[in-house]
Amino acid sequence: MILARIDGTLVASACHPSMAGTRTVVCQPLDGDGRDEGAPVLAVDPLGAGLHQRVILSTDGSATREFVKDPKSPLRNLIIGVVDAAPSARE
Amino acid sequence: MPRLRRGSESERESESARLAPLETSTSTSTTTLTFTVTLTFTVTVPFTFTPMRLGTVIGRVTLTQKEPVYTGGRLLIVQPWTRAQFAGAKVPPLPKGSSVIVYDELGAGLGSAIGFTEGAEAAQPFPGDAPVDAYCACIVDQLAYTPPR
Repeated sequence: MILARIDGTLVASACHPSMAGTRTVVCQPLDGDGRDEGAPVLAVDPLGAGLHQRVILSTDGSATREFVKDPKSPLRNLIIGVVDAAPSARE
Repeated sequence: MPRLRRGSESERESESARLAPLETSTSTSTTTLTFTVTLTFTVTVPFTFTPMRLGTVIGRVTLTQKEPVYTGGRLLIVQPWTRAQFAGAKVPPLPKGSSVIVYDELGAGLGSAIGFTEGAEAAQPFPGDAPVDAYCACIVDQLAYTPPR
C-alpha cells in the first residue's frame, strides 16, 4: 500500500474486458514527506477520488480482481482510501 | 530472489553464532585464543514499484519458436513513460532507458500509448501458468494529466 496523489484520468476504449466501465486514474506516488517519487502509475478508482486528492493505493491484484469480479483480470492497483490528513505529509 | 538471499544470510548468521564463542586454551602456555567472527550483511532494497504503468510502443518482437501460450497475441517493445512523457514530451525513437517486452492481445500499433501490467497479475488472463511478465491492459485514447502547480 502506498500514498499517492490523483494527477489525471485516462480514457481507453480498447482494453481488457475487466477494465470496461471502471474509472482509471493516473496517480503520482508520494514519499513520506509528501514529495513526488518516481513516475506516475495507473490505478482503478472505485471511490471517485477528485483531482489532486491524496489516496492510498493497494498494489495487490487479488483485491482488484475481487472488485472487478473477474478472476482473469490483469489489473493490479486499486484505490482503497481517500486521505483526510497525513501529518507527516507536508502540504 | 530477496527471500533466497535472506535465507542464506540467516544461515550464515547462525554459522557465525556457532563460531563466535570459540575459545581455545592451552594448559602449557596458559594463553587464551579467542576468535570472534563477525559477518555483516547489508541488503539494500531499491524502491521498485513498477506495476501498471504507461508506455509507448517502440517496436515488435517476432518469434518462430515460442511457448504455446503466446499464440494469438503479439510481443511489443514498450518504453515506459517517465514524468517528462506524462507532461507531454515525446518518446525518442531510441530511448535511453530500459524497455520492456509486453504481451498484447488488443492490437496496439507502433507509436501507440498503452497501459500495461507487470508482475504476477500479467499472467492472470491466461489459462493456467504462463511465462508472461508484462501484459497490455489498455490502449490509451485520451489522457488528462494535470499535476499541481
